[in-house]
Amino acid sequence: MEDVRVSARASGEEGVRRRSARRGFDWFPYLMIAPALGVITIFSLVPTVYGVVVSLYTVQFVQLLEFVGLRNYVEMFTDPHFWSAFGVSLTFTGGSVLLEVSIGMVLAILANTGLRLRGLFRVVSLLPWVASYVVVYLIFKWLLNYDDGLLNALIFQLGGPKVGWLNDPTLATISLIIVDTWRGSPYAMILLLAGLQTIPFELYEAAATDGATGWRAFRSITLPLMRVPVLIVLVLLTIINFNVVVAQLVLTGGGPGRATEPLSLLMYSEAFTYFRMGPAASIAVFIFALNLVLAGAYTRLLRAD
Amino acid sequence: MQRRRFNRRELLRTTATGTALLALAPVVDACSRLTGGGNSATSGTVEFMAHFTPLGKGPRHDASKKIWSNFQQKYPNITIKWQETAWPTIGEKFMAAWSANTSPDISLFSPANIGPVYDLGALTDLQPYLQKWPSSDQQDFPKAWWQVGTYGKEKIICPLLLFGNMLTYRKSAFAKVEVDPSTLKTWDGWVAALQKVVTDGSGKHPGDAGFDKSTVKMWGYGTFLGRNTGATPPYWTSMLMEKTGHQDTEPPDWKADSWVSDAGLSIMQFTTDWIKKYQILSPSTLNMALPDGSKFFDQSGCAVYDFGTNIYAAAAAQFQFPKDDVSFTLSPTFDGTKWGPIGLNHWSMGVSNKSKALDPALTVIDFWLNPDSDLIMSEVGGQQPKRLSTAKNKFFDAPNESFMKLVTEGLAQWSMPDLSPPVRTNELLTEAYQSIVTQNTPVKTAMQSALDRYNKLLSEIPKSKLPKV
Amino acid sequence: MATLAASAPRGRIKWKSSDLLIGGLMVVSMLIVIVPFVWAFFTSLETQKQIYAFPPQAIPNPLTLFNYGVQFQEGLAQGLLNSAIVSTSAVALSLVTAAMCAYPLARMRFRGSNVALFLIIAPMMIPGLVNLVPTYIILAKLALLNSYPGLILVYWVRSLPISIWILRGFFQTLPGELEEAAVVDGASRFQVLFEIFIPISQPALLAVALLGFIDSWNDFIIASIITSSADMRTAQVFLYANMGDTETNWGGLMASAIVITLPVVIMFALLQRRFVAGLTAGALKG
Repeated sequence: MEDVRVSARASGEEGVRRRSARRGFDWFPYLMIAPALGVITIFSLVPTVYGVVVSLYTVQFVQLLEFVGLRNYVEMFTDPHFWSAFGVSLTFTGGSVLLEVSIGMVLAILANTGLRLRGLFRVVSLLPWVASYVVVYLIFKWLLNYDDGLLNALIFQLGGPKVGWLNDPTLATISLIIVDTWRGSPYAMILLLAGLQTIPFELYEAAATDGATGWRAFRSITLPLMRVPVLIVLVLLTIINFNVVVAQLVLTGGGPGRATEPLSLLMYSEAFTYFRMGPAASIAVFIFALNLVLAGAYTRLLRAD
Repeated sequence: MQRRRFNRRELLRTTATGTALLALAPVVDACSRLTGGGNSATSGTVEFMAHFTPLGKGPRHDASKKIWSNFQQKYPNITIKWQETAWPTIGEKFMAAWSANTSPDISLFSPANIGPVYDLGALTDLQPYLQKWPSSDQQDFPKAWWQVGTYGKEKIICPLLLFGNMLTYRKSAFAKVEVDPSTLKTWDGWVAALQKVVTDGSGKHPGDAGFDKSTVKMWGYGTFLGRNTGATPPYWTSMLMEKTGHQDTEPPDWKADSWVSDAGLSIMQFTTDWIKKYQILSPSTLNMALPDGSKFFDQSGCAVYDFGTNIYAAAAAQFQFPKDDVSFTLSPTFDGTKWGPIGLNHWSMGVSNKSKALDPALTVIDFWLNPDSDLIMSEVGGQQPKRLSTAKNKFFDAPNESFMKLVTEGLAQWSMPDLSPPVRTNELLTEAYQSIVTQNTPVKTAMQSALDRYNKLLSEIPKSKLPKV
Repeated sequence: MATLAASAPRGRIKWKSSDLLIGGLMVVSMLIVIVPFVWAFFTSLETQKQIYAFPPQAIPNPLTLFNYGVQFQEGLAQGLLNSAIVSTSAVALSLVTAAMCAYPLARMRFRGSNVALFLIIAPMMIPGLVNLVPTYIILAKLALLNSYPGLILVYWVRSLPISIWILRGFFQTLPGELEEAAVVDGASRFQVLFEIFIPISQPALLAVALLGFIDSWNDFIIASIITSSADMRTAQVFLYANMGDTETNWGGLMASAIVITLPVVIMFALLQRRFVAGLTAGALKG
């Protein structure tokens, strides 16, 4: 017979703790996590570690040749291409995340109302995220095409000049952010909607009896209680957006010049155009570090309340 | 104390599982090797990776299908397993597979892929086997065919598709401005003619005051210059060839100093001016990939397009205008004394040097290159004939196929073999082109920056591995 | 769970603006979303010649189902089947192993739990490109390339981090009394997990399943590297084949894209309420 000590708090952080009297260890937790952790180790961690180790060597495709320590990193940090790509990444990610969270919040609020339309609204709003992303980008490439895109055709009909949405450095950057926002807002909407639904309706009722409705209710009830969901969505979207590469590949190829070439695309072309796996891996490690820092920042902010 | 032991145990367990699985790998490897027996020149299984196979749809697929059925009749004991792979990824896929010892026996390679694959040392030298051909066969292939993929005494690939480019133009567009393109033998002449062809909404031409490029219906020249699309600045190598007698990088040292030479800079200035100053090339070209470019011509977006003979048939099927409104001519030169050199482009077959089916693979390659197959590739697949004897076939006298004759003649006059530099150059040059046009970077700065990058990438390849002639 | 109310409360937030405005905003938003899809839909019903015509026809005439026919002839059905098998299997495996893994991480303290958690979450932050070729090589050495097991393994592993995160969050919200009562009744911990926690966690499991399914169904890069034959192609890889080296088959591309997106849309439409409820409880507790 084993001792069972149960201590459960309201948040459920501490669950069942089992202490065996004299026997060996409690196998149970380790057994339970073993399958998942095992598969992750072999098929995710091992390849990733290998991919990262590659950054410390000169490689021939994936064969390790010569250990060079941090040389790849030094070269990376002194390469102007890296810094221009970093800037593009920051602009793209910053713009996209801000827009996606804001629009996602608006969509979530709309989807949280009592209107019967909301079922259809939720499904339709989710389409951009659910559809095949290669095709989505191809469609937008065509819509924004200078010569025969729908957008320019409309503008032309209305008497305006055709605009190079994807041909001008600034416009291309903006177009990419907008396309990415179109695709990413549903993801934000879904997560924020879930957050909105945890807010007990009674709070709004109570506020209403005090005369606080509409915008005031939003500011004093919704926003504070949505802090955690918003923070989570911010971090998730930042990680995702730093890794977006197919959008740039399809819509502009990174051009004009290097105007729309973020770190992810730089990494991709180092790996698959020039077959320089070492430098590609060092960029990946940099992105990983960046994500860690951001995740850490999120954790701190979360604990701060 | 118990706990610490425990921690290590967990780590051990996961490491053990991982190692065990990885240790199994060589066993699996060895087993699969044992089952690869039974290969000879007339029997065995060959894995063939290509972007067009008998399994798909299209003119080249249909040609493959026909050749394959002929093959199966002659060699019923050789099985071909097809792997159809998208063409942009075929190089990487082969390299990854070769690294993992699972590469197909035969694969197709384009000029962009040859350099890195040669660096990897992944292909079998085919010269010993090709030398065994009867001399009539050897001479039936032109010099350019033999030059492709030849490094010193080794020849690692055999072109299956050979193609060159020709200028395709709209007769009506030029009739309107009373110019006959087949008389244009200089670049200046072309630019002037195209400036006449390009008209904006109010009838103005490039160079006129108030010319509005957003109302232009039909541009002059057409090509694709998107980044990461495999594009190259227009006529870069052929213009350099004319001005200096050399391509931009050549063995044995593969230096690219021509990029910042006077010739190189003036050429880049000239071609970027096609968009900036002369306005005969649409700015949207910078966003086009190959399919976008040919679609542009199909929709009458431009009056001239630089088609490779390999894709002309497919593009012609999509013309939004009558097919007979199109005619062909070769590219001009600066001094106008002869037609410009034609760059030889190709998709070629190579055999992995890890292949366990070398003998049947050689039979396959042999068959795909014989006269019958060559003719099928032309008649059904719409491809340029490789063999000189095939080119004499009556099939090419028909007006619809006349362009192939044109290019064959052009190739005979002045062809540039594709040299496949060890470092990919086209992306570097396209980037420079784009930044000159859209960001007003001075030509010298952009080219120097591209050259610096090229030199850096070149220095990473050990001298011993650089392909020499 | 009652406050999580799968639907927003009937007596809704009283905004100053009327329902008409909300409804109006919804409609406008839906229109913005739907324009590219409408365009795709019409393109799928046109021939290549009509697609190339410029200026583009507003509503093409005549419409034809030719593209759909051709896509099915060329292997769309096989692609769909492969995607279905692979995605469903990956999701099933993921559900079981993620639940097993999330339970102790949520309810127990044990040595190494933080390390384990880190090892599980960290992969999400590393760009997937870096382990693409090494993964390929591992699969090649195990002779799992171009096979169902190979694809299933990779998708399974990809979906584990977020699945475990969500389920762990969800399990943490369940009251401890559940386990107490079960243990008092003599249940083993396996039984607690499988017979009590899992049935009650349906919304979270549904959320995890749907997210994992969509991620696997929509993946292109991994599938294109791992598969190499026509009969193993997933739907997305098949779709991409419409983009040839010399021209793009726009009509076919759009037709396939629509057919491939439909199953997921229908799935979500049917399950959207419970999906949101599941996320609510799990994902947002950090």
